[in-house]
Parts: sequence; C-alpha cells; structure tokens
Amino acid sequence: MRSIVRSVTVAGVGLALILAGGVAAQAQPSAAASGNVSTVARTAGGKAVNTPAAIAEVEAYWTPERMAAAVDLDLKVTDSDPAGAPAPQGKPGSIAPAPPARGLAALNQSVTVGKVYVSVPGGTGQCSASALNSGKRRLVITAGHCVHAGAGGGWYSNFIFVPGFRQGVSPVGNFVAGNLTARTAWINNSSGDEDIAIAIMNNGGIYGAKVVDTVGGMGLRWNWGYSVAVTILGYPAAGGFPGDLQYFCQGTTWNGHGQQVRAWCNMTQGSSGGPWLQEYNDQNGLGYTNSVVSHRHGDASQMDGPYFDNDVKSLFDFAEGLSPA
Amino acid sequence: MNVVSAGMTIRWWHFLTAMTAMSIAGCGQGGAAAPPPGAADIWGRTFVSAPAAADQGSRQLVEGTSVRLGFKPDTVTAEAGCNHLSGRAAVDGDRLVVTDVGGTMMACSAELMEQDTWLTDFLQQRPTWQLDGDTLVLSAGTTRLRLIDIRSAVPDRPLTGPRWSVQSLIDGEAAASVPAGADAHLTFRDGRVTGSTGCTDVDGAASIGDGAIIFSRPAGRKQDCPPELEAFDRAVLGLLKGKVAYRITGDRLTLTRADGDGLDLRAEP
Repeated sequence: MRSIVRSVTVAGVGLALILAGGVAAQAQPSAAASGNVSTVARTAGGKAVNTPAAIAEVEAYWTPERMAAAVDLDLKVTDSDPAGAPAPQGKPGSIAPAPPARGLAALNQSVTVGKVYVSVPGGTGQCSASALNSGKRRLVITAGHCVHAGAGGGWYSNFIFVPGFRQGVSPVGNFVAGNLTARTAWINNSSGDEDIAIAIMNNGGIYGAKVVDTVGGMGLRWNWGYSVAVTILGYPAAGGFPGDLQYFCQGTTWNGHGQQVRAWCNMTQGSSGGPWLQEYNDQNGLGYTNSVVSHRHGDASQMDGPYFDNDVKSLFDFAEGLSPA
Repeated sequence: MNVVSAGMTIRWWHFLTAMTAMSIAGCGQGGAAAPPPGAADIWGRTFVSAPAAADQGSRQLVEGTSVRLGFKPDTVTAEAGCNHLSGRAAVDGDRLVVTDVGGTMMACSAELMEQDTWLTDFLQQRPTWQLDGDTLVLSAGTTRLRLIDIRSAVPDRPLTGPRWSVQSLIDGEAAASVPAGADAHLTFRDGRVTGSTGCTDVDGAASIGDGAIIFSRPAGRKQDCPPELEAFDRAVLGLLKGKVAYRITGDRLTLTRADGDGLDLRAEP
C-alpha cells in the first residue's frame, strides 16, 4: 500500500535521525564482514533503546504535537553516477514478501470511503460507508444495522456521510441521506446474512453535487464466490483505534457461517458498513464492493460480512429505482 | 441426545457448534444434542427489559433504550441500544452460560457503548435465571435484569383504532424508509380508511376480512407535493387498492399486495 509505505518510511527515517543526532560519535554503526550494517537505536538523551523504560521514553517523546510537527524528510537523490552504471553482478534475484499471519488493520485513505453518523434512540451511532457507482450517482452502501435497528426496531435518522473524513477534517464536505433502504431480512429478523443497506443521498459536499460526481463511486460485484481477495476499509473507533482515521485490512475471504464471508481483520466498533473491495486500487481509491463490515464473534481478529449474491443486486436496483434523477 | 453430565452440570451444543467452540474458544465440554425437554422455556423466545420498574438493584438503562434478549437453540442475541450482540448460550442448572460474545461493529455515544459493554459482561458472569410465566429475571452480583416476553410486553394491537404510521415501503425483500418530511399514516375505523400519504389525504372504504383488507379507490385530495415525495406518494396510494393481505405482530402492521409490494406500519402509542 503506497500510502503506508511512505508514512512508515518517513517516520522511520525521522526517528533514526533524531534519535541518533547527539550520539553519532560514540555510536558508530558496526560493519560486519558480510557488508551488513547494524546499529543500536538510541533515545534523544543517547541511551540505547533496549529496555522497557527506554522504549517508554521514546514513546513519551512522540507526543501528538511532535508527531504533527515532524518534517517531511524527502531524501535527496544524487545525480546520475558520472562513472556510469555498474555492470550487473549476476542473474536477477527475488525473495517473496510475506504478509502477517493474521490480518492487521493499518492506515490507508480513499476519499470514496467515509464516516457515517446517525441518530439512534438514546444517542448517536458511527459507521463507515462508501459511495457506490450507479446511473443516478446518488448511492452510498453500508451495513443494515447502520440504518435500521433490526427486528422490533425502526429506521435511524439524520444519516450523514462524510467522505474522506480524517482527523476532524471533512475534505469534501457532507452528504445527507434523503432515503434509506435495506433488506426485509434485516429489518424483520436482524439477519447477518443480509446486513446490507444503501442510502440515497441528496446533493451535498463542497460542490453541492451528487456524491458519486464528487468523490467517485465503487463498483459492485455479486455472486463471485466466498473466497476472494479483498481490501477492507473503515473507521474503527474503539479498542485503541481513534475513529477519525481510515484503516484497511487485506486478505482472502472464506465462508465463516451462514451466507457470510469472513476475513482476518481486527478493526473494531465504527468499522461497520466499511466496504470489502475486490481489486482495490490505492492509486485512485477505487475497487469493487463485494461485502460490507457487519459483525464479529468471540475472536476479535476476524470479522464477518454478508455474502453478496442476487440479494445485493436486488437492493441496488430497488434503491436506484427510488433515487431521484 | 448426548448430554454430558458433571455432577449437576448439563451442557449441550450442536455438534458443529461444539467443534467451532472448541477451536475458537477452547471450550471442550461440548457433547452433541438439542436442549433436553423441559430444561428451560426460554428457548425460542424474545424478552425485552421491563419499563424502569421500582426494583431495587435493577439496572438503570440509558433513556430511550431497552435491553432485548433472543434465545435460539444454543445462541443468545442481545441488544442494549447500540450493537447487535450474539453469543453461545446454554443453561447450567439455574445459571445462564454465555460465551464467545461478539456483535455488530457500530460505534455509539459513550453511554451506549458502555451499556453494550455492561450487557456483554453481565451475560458472561453466569447470571442466575428465573422464569415465572412471561417474566425472566437474570441476576449476577448486585445487578438484576427483569425482562418480559415480547408477546406480553408488546401485545398485538387491533387493526381498527390505532393511528398506524407508515415506517417502510416494501418491494419484495427490499425495504425503504419513509422520505424525510413525509408523515404518512392510516387509521381504520367503521369500514373506512383515513389518513395521509404525506402528500395526499386518504379517505375511502376498507372492508376488513380474514387476513385481508379490500380497499375501494380511496378518495384522494392532493396537496402540494415536493418532488422528492412524489414517488413515495404514488407507492402508498398504489397499495391502497383492491385486496391487500395484512398481518399484525405486536405494534407492527404489514400490508402486502399479491405482487410482493407492501407497507410496514407501526401503531402509535
């Protein structure tokens, strides 16, 4: 993921430079015979970061203010070598990268994905959602439980979609739903198999325009089978996640139970409704929606979403039919 | 039936569920079976919290919320105003044993999140349960939760009399909310239906038979209708023609035409 690699690199270089700053003389990297180089990371005070106390000191150093003020360290690239490129040393080599054994939520950003706020009886709710491409260009897809309380309950009100929300900033403004749609299996029976909703949005945002005209829209795929590679995007807001940053998980889904797909992903409350995207392209933030975040069971490292079959296409057609031009 | 007994302990799980429980939660006491007859009458029932009773020790819930517990074989579903929680459930003597609790992933205002957490913890504390007719009391520590079977708590309303407010437009297996700003409602009385689509006043004959209502063309007097309400107005008026099946569950009324189109209404208190 490009954005991740960039942020990690910048943070890593910044850390190394600042920590090594005052102690360069006594902490020369040791070069082994292999040509590999290692050093010991040090605190701003010059102590080696190899004890819990020293690690805590580094963590304490990185206050939010310091992190925000950290400069962007674009590395200088030297001009082309006047002596000419060296000759290849042999055949091209390759070692495959390895993903973590279990899915881990990390940061990413698609402006087509955003945060949802709704009024629920007794308070407010927060979910995730994505704009969904259609002829009329007004649809936003999320989870059924983000729009309706399920069996015995009613529709939630004041549904607002904030695409690209990041740390309090709404970069393209807000879109308010004019109408909400869901499956009867959700509103009558709270069925996790059909925990899907599509909201029909009024004009909004910084251009006073349709949502898909403003931030683009995801594609939609249904009947693609239970085992597909997906990128899951959402705004987890509990268990240490801040709720104002878009995270992603990546992995291959399987049939967890019922008509549902399951994936390794440790996002928490707030991620509901976030899209499970096939062929997610982080250059343009677009992909094909193939499920939405619904729920988890006792294992917090996995989550389930409804399997997208003809039911989601039926809901899509229904919502598009109800949508104003 | 294969009930695993350890002293007074009785546990049961469906075979596959037991396998899953063992692999996920490391919970290996499972046998394979259905609930023993007469063990508990909570299964297959839904209970909602009693309105803030004068019970000392009852949990005070966030205003506007209630607790809802649904018991299906080996599963409990639980709601307290934010997420839809679910977990494995079994009865062990006078204890309700709930494990492997998960839920939907909405974030809510702090007090609702806290209430979800409280309910999750409460259910996992092996509360004692006591069922007396339609009243179920769960107790753990100093906390007591008094619940009433939803059929008693929300009895079926009669078709005639209440003001039924339109909640959803149904199209087969899809449902839509009422557009913001539309106050659509119907009242059945004395062989007539009166009300409004939000744009058009409804007043017509409605003959109520066994599970069905036959509408004559209701006299509609159309008022100014904003463009965003016109489709909804047409859809509601389209339902009130000819023979329409109806079903009442608690305070919910569903009107369904033969082609699957319908309306979902709720009786106002």
